[in-house]
Amino acid sequence: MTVGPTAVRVCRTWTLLYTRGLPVEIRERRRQEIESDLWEQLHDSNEPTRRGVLGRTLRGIHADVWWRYRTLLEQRGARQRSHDMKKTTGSGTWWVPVTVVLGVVIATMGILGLALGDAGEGGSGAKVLASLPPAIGGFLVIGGLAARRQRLVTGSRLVIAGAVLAALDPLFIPVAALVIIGGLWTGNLVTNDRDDRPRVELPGHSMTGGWYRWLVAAALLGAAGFAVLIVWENSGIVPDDCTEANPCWEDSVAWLAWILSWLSAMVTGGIGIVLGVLRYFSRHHTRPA
Amino acid sequence: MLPLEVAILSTAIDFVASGTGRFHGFLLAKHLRGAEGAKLLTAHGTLYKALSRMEKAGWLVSEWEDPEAAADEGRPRRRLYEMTAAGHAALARATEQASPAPPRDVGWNPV
Repeated sequence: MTVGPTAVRVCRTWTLLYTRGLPVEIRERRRQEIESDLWEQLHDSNEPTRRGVLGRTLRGIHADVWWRYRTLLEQRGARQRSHDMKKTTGSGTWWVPVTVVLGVVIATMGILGLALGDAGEGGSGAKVLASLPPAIGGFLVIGGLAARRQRLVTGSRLVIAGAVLAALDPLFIPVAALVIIGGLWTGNLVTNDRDDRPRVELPGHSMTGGWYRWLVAAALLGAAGFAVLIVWENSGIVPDDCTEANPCWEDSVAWLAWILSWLSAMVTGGIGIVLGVLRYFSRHHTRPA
Repeated sequence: MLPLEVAILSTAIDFVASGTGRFHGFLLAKHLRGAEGAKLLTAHGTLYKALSRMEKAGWLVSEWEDPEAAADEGRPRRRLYEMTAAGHAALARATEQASPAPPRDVGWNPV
């Protein structure tokens, strides 16, 4: 194959990459089929080679990725998936203890708030009302966790609902976000196709293994917010008569964007830190049999 | 059935009619492009994913060609596909579903 070496190399490299780790028979079949296809295209006098090969490779990437995903799932088999699910939703994962702690803490806070609220002392009842979400959330989290043993999807939904209620208190947003993400994955709520239940942790790709990506995302979000503010301050868009005493909406929008980006960065960074700590202490991996 | 699957089965029937019978991926891609008047060949991923799915569905069967035949021509061996009776039936069903239903007589017709 002397024509279009770069395009051919890209195609071969990509094929080697997305078939990597698949069963030998499936892997070799796909690789040989692509090799044959490449040969046919490169030796067909009517076909534009370089762009044609590269285009066919690039346009099919999403299908290749999806095919690999489906192949992995099918190979694993229902029995193995069930086994994996038990392992990933069992007490050995980091997600369960984190969820238990969140549930117990917010339930306790809620109960204390309800018991010691000011409704009975002539108060406005605001403290009692404010204690309701964490109390309900705590019970949903704990109840959902217990229900997951029998009804995985329903239990996971309850846990997620409880975590959402917990997140009403900004203090719990990072942990609640972690519980929600873990609940979505371990509860098979990510895809609609229940036969294609994703494994929680692919080999070498555990959830905690990606902790640094959250920190990078946090840094980018923070930088973006800072950039918005700098650009806004120096762009001259803000009218001169905008002051702290007489703020204009343009100025408010800039500050709102800055505050939102920094809040997002804090939440994202918090998730990254928690995942990193869990990674450090647990070193948990779930590997397929 | 997806449009690509319909197109593949229709092309497979054309191959049978022309006496080709069995076909390989690149040949199929070329004919698909011609049939649809498209400029580009079907992407590798899209084509082979569809072929794999259709084989699992029992609409196609495939096997590697004789290695010696490929070696004689100095090329990699081809995976040859062939349409099955189930494929014919599936295409017929898909065509039937795609064709517009005859207009229903909705007028009042006292008996």
